[in-house]
Amino acid sequence: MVKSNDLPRPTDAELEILTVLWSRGPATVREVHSTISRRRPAHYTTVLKLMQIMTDKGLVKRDEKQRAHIYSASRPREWTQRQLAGDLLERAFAGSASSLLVGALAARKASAAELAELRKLVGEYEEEKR
Amino acid sequence: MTLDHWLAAPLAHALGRALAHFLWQGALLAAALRAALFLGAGRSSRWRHQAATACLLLLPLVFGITLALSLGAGPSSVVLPPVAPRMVFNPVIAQGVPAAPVDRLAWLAPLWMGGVILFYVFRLAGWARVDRMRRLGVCAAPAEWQQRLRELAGAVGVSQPVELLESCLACVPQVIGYWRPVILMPLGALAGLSAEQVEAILIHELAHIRRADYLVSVAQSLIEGLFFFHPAAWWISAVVRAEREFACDDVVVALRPDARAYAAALTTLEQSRWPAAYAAAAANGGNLVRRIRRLLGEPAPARVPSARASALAGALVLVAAVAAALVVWPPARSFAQHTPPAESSADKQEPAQKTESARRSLAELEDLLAGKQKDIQDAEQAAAKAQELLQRNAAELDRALKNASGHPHDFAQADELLRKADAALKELEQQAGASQQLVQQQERALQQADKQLQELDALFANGKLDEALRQRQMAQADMALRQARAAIGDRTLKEIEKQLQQAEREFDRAAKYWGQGNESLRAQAEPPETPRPQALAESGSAFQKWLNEDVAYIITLDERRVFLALRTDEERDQFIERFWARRDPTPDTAENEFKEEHYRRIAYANEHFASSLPGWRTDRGRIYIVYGPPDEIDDHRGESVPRQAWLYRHIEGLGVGVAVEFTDPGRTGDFRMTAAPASHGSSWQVMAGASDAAEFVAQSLRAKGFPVTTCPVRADRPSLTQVLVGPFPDEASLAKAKAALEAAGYHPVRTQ
Repeated sequence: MVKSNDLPRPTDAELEILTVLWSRGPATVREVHSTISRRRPAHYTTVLKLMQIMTDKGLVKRDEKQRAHIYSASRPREWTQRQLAGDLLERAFAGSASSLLVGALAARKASAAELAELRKLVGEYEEEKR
Repeated sequence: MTLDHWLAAPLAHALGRALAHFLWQGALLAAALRAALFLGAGRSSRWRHQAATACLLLLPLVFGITLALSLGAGPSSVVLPPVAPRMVFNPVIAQGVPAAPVDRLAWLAPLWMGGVILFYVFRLAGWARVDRMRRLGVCAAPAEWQQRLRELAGAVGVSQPVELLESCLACVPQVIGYWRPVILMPLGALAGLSAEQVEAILIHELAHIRRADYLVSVAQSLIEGLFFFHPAAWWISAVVRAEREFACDDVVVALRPDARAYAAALTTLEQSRWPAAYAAAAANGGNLVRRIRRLLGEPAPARVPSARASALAGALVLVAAVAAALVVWPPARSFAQHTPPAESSADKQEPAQKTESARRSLAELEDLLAGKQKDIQDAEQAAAKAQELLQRNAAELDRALKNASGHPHDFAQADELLRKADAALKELEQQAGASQQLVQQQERALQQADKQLQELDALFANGKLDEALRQRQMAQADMALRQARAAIGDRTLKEIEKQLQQAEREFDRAAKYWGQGNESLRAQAEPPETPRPQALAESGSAFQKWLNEDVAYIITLDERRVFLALRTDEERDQFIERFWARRDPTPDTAENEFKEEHYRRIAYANEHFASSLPGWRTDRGRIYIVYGPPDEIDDHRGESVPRQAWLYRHIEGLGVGVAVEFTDPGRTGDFRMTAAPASHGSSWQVMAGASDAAEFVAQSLRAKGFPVTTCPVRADRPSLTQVLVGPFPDEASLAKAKAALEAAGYHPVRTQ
């Protein structure tokens, strides 16, 4: 098996396919293609070709037991995220980018102490649910 | 453009002042917002968010108004009061004049600009990264969630279509874009939370879209970049961010009353954030704890002034204090470091210098008046003499008649005498008439001079502001030139270049002020003899052309004066005839070789030396017309700086082996003389400065009868013109000229 360190960094198009596989779980080329084409026009053959290349690179695994081959990501998504976040330049601008973002959570991660307090605050709810 | 130059610009001054003022203005606005939030503690988050946003938008507004006001006030409100007016601008006497003061605050402008640019570069890169997140590592969310989002959008009141994407790069749910908004959900969030929880999160994001928070966020980061130096701006911005989230939470709770489920969703999302490398730096993860407490209705913990809050308050106080110091503290004078200490008393000398200069000008005019009066006395004496002569002649005639009556044979003699007397009488009458005319003429000049003296008096009494300002600019220019001269002595070439550039700049400024200076002032400052050919103007341009073009270079001062005083065209015609006759080397022949040669030279000059100026007005034309064709021409017109040297073996009054050099650094065809046509050391430099100031001084010196030349100080710096008096053939006449110049209030410097 190829070591994770040796895996090449996925291209933008490959990352999209990986995202689909992470989101939907193992899928056929047809399923991946239909998800991608909901967002942008894409040729089935292009997706197929890309996924074959990714198989050769070791980015995805192919299960050939069934008639329609089923593909799955060979690495968890955290792996790619870590790889991208490790980029120094990316990190430098992430701080700047985060101030532009609006969303349900702050751009900065909560500290361990805060997380503990949060867990305590919502703990009752979790218990009730159980 | 050098930094020094830029710092002297009005914008730098205005920016510096506006930035200094902003220190306290920002602190004040932040304090006002704090007070408003305190008073409106019970109000909705929407209201608090709007208050904070308004406060944030006020920052650039207040700064802009301050900047506009500072620009309007101009640098003169900062610059020092003007120094004494001086009629002579000689570097040697420029001691005691301070250099242009540079506002210390102006230094803030480049520092601030550098910071803003740095911030904006980072923001732009961040924005590019955010924009990339719309496309990179995303896939469309499952169809059922897209459908659910459309329903929720209708409930929240979002009209534009919203795209729901799952992203492997986003670590938290976020909204990107305003016109085509995208909601990015981290991978796994849709599956990892319950349906109600996802809906709550989606409502929160839709609320952001509805409230155009992405636009606000962009504006916010622009303002933060602009006022990066001010803690108040950051604090206000943080308040906007916090209140924004509270307001969106309120929308969620209004639509989905199960606040606990929502709070749990937020906590789960926070917990499941992927461990980004840069998260380690975060000591305080924002206000999520506050938000959860608020959602769950938990009371906020008793407010203890945290270290952060006191640090912020301290920073604000410090900033306000610095602002006060910068604004109240008088601007430094930059000359303190590079001018001799003796000049520190310059300000005290200013009034004295001013008075001294005014007194000198008045004294000059009074001298002129005294001269006129003497002329009149002379004329009156001449008239009296003529009268006496007339009477004596009459007595002689009488006697002759008596003789004739006694001795009839003497009749022929008497007749002869009578004729002679008659002729003498006529001549004397003519002479008397001329004297009378001269007296009238002188009286007119006297009246005119008197009037000008009064005007000048009034002017000095009024102490006109613009005149004073102009004088100050001149003084500064002088100072710069003096420094340049000092530098030539022992400093490096580089420094000299710098000083000269500064001098040039100052002279340009001075020249500008000269141009602006009121015309009346100029006219008043001119000596009374300055040609004012009104009568001449009425009689047509032919005579004016003759005076100012044809013979401009060869007519003597006295001849010019007489010509200007003539009143009829016949007189002028006669004068011109006599003018040429006097110069005719062979008066017996009909041809006037001098006149013919002179007009030939003019024609030659016009044909060969014309550039942007007509040929006769160029430097080469002038030299050619006055001194004739050179004996030898050393021609280097093909070189990178075209130049030409004219060699004269002998020039009457100048000496042997005179060389005149012309260069054309701009390659415009207009060759300029690089030095006066004289051997070095035989002239006096009276001033060096802007060309129109130099012409003005040269004109007034010419009017006093000095031999004056103007030429550039250095060939490659045509804007620095020097006025030279001379050349003089020997030391005795040099010394005499120096004494005369000093008596007239100038401070001549021997040319090197």
